[in-house]
Amino acid sequence: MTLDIVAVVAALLLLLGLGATLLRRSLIGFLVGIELGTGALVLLTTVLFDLSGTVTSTGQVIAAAAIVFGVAAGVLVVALHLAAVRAGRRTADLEPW
Amino acid sequence: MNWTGVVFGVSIALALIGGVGAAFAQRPRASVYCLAIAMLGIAGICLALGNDLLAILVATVLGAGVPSAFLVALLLAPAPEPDVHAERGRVLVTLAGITAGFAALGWLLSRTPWLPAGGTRQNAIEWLGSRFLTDHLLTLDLLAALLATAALGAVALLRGRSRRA
Repeated sequence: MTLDIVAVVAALLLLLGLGATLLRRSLIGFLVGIELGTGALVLLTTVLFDLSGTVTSTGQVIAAAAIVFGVAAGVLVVALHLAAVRAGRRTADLEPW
Repeated sequence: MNWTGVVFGVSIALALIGGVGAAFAQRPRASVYCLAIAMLGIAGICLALGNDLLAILVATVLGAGVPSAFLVALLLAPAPEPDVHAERGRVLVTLAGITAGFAALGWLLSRTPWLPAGGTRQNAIEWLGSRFLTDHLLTLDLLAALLATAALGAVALLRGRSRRA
């Protein structure tokens, strides 16, 4: 029962993350949705492998991989966000800042 | 009710409240704060389920590190406010998609007849470490390469822009 509740919560968080990626205007907002989906994926993989009962540590391996993916996406998108804003300021002759 | 139950219930509430806030908050900084709250909730759920390492990773990396980087980026380069698309049709379609997807996934997850688990649960850190260093060694190397590529890409993006300025 506990695992079923967690699975349903994870599904809701996953869809909220997808919704955030559709609704947000900024890159950071888009990435907030991606990170939320990553967190939901962590829950979903651990719970599903727990429920299936076979080699439950595989779920944690996938979850750890999802966390690393989230960090890599975060680093890249933060750099893109900063680079885009700097380019915009340079165009408007507002550099350096 | 024992402490595990309390942690579980509070964490579920935190994850849901944070998730809704992260998806629908108007201001970018508020959505980042809500993301951190949701991640702390997810870490609490992992802790209540006995996945200690994942709980630590989610709380420190996704709950503290990544939102801190977002906040620094927003301080240096503020995002537009409000950060949510204002078109009524887009909002309605998104809400309908979330509702329909949740209904389908919830029905699928709750109706699936799971077989009774056999053997012992392998949630200890030792299990995870041994799996990473034996069966999933290639995965570990690929993850390290992914992180290195992301870091190099970020450095190249920022250095290249500043040199041309």
